Parts: sequence; C-alpha cells; structure tokens
Amino acid sequence: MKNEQWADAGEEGMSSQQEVKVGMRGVWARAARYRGAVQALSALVLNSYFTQRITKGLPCPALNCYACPAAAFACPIGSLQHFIERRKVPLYVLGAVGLVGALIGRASCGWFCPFGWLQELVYKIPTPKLRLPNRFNWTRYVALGVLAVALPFFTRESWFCKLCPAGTLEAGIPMALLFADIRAMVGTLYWIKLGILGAFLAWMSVTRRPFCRWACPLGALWSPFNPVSSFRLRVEQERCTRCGRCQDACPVDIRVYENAASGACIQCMECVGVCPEECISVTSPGWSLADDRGDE
Amino acid sequence: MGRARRDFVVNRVLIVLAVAAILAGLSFDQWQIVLRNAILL
Repeated sequence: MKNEQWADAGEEGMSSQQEVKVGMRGVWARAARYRGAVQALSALVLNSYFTQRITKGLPCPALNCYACPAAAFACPIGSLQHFIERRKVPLYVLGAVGLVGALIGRASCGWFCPFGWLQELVYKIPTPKLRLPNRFNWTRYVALGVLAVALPFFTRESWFCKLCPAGTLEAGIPMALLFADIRAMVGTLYWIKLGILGAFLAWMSVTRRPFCRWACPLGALWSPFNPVSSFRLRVEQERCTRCGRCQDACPVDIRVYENAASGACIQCMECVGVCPEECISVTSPGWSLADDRGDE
Repeated sequence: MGRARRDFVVNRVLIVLAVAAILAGLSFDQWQIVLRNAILL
C-alpha cells in the first residue's frame, strides 16, 4: 500500500504528507551536490585551532586526529582508547558517539569526516580503478575490537592511534616537520606509520574509500545504528529496476537496492539524485509511523 | 508491533540511552578527562 502511494506520488490526489516526502527527495538530491563543500567546511571547523581550549573536550563526529596542532575537537576513537587504557567506562564518549549514530547513523562519515573527504579526492586522480566487493568489510570491526579496545585494555597503549593513517597525516608528519625534538624521536614506528599511510593513499587512488570500508573503527561503531537511525535511506523495491546506477555513484560501492539501511552505507545521498526511477529517498522511523497510521 | 513502530521505539530508546550516558559521563567529570588528554597530546 505504502509503495503504491509512493508510485503515484506525482499524480493528482497526492496527500500533503506525500508532497513533503517527494519534495524532500529533491532537497536531498540537490544537497548531495554540495557535499564536497560541506566536507571542506567540516575539515576547516574541526581543525579551526582557536576554540580548542574549550571545544577539545567534545568528541567530534568524525575521525579527526586531536594531536593535530590545529584540531579543535577530540577524536572519539582516541578518547575511547584513553578511557580503556585507564580501565574506566567511557560513558561520555560512547554517549556522544551513540547520540550521533542514533540521530544520523553513518551520515557523519559521508558528510563531515575529513579523512573520508580526502579518500574521495584521492580517488579522483586518474588511475586504473579496482572495484572490490564489500564482502570482507567486517574487518573494520576487527580494527575496533583489537586495535581500539582489546590491545589498549591489555597493554595500556593506544594502538589504533599509533597506526592510524589519519593521525600520521594530520599530526605525525606536521609535528615532525614543526618541532625538532619530535624529529629527534623518529624511529621504526614512525616509518611503519608512514608506510601504512602510503599504502592507504595508494589504495584510495584505485578503490573507493578503502579505509572507511575495511579499517575505520569509528565507522564500525556507527554501522549498527544505520538500520535504526532517525535519518536513513529507503528504496521502493517495486519500482527499482536494479540498473546499478546507485552503486556506480556510491562512494563505498554498495548496492543500495539490496539493503538501503546497510551498515556500510555512509548516507551521502549521492544515489538519491542519480536514480532514474526516483525510488531512493530519505526517511525516518517517525515518518514511517505516520505512513502506517495513514494506511490504517 | 510493526517493523516501523519497532524501529521508531528502538531509535528513541537509543537517543535516551545516549543522552543518559553523556550526562552520567559528565557527572564523573569525563569531559575534563577528554579535554585534558586532548590538550596534553
């Protein structure tokens, strides 16, 4: 019933609620065109330096290294490890991450993460491209469980931070360039970090957002929220022709029509505007409830 | 309970739990711990 209503949405007799939803689809499709600008603005705000004495106590909704000299917010994964190392329950950090997840799912990855933005920019370099299936993307849960939780708990060291390519780019390299005493401390670990960053930079030039798909522990924390977040994608299966244009436009290479609420989806909305059948839209559990009441 | 209704309830419960966790963390001064750790890096 719901899908029939959607299919007829362009015809006469459309309810005001349907009009809002059809209108919203256009809004999201247009908004996706400005996503690059939002990502650039987010990178600036998260690294705006001047507010850091106050705002560095707030975990930012993205993987942005707080050891960066300009970082204005705390990295949620770095802060999480700090609590785990000290055997304290990270209520504040998990609450902040959980609130973002419950409200917008992984949209932060698609819209606000500077490292995600970098991956999309590097992918634009004209090189031969390698399309990889998302079959093994559970490895990001291993990164979360092993590097960000288990190892910090047992060794009292922030292992994910030690190896994080975003941290190497935003903090490791600038700090070594700016400060002679840090340069003097450069050792084997530093070269391993540079190697990991180099490997990811090479990989992100040929494959779409590989770090987000296979290695990001923050994405792993947010993934389970996607199916129940206040803001998520929905596909009208009856109208979908499975043409694959959504997958071609998707920065994480997923088949949106197979599972619109997939934990791999970064809710960037790129697929909303490219769908020729206009069957991908943004929805919320609240709106779905209103639909149900309308059908009764 | 329909799927939409269940998702709605789970979503609102998660929001309440997240806010409760933030408030509990703040009551243990965890904001200061995050701030100090981030500034000292």
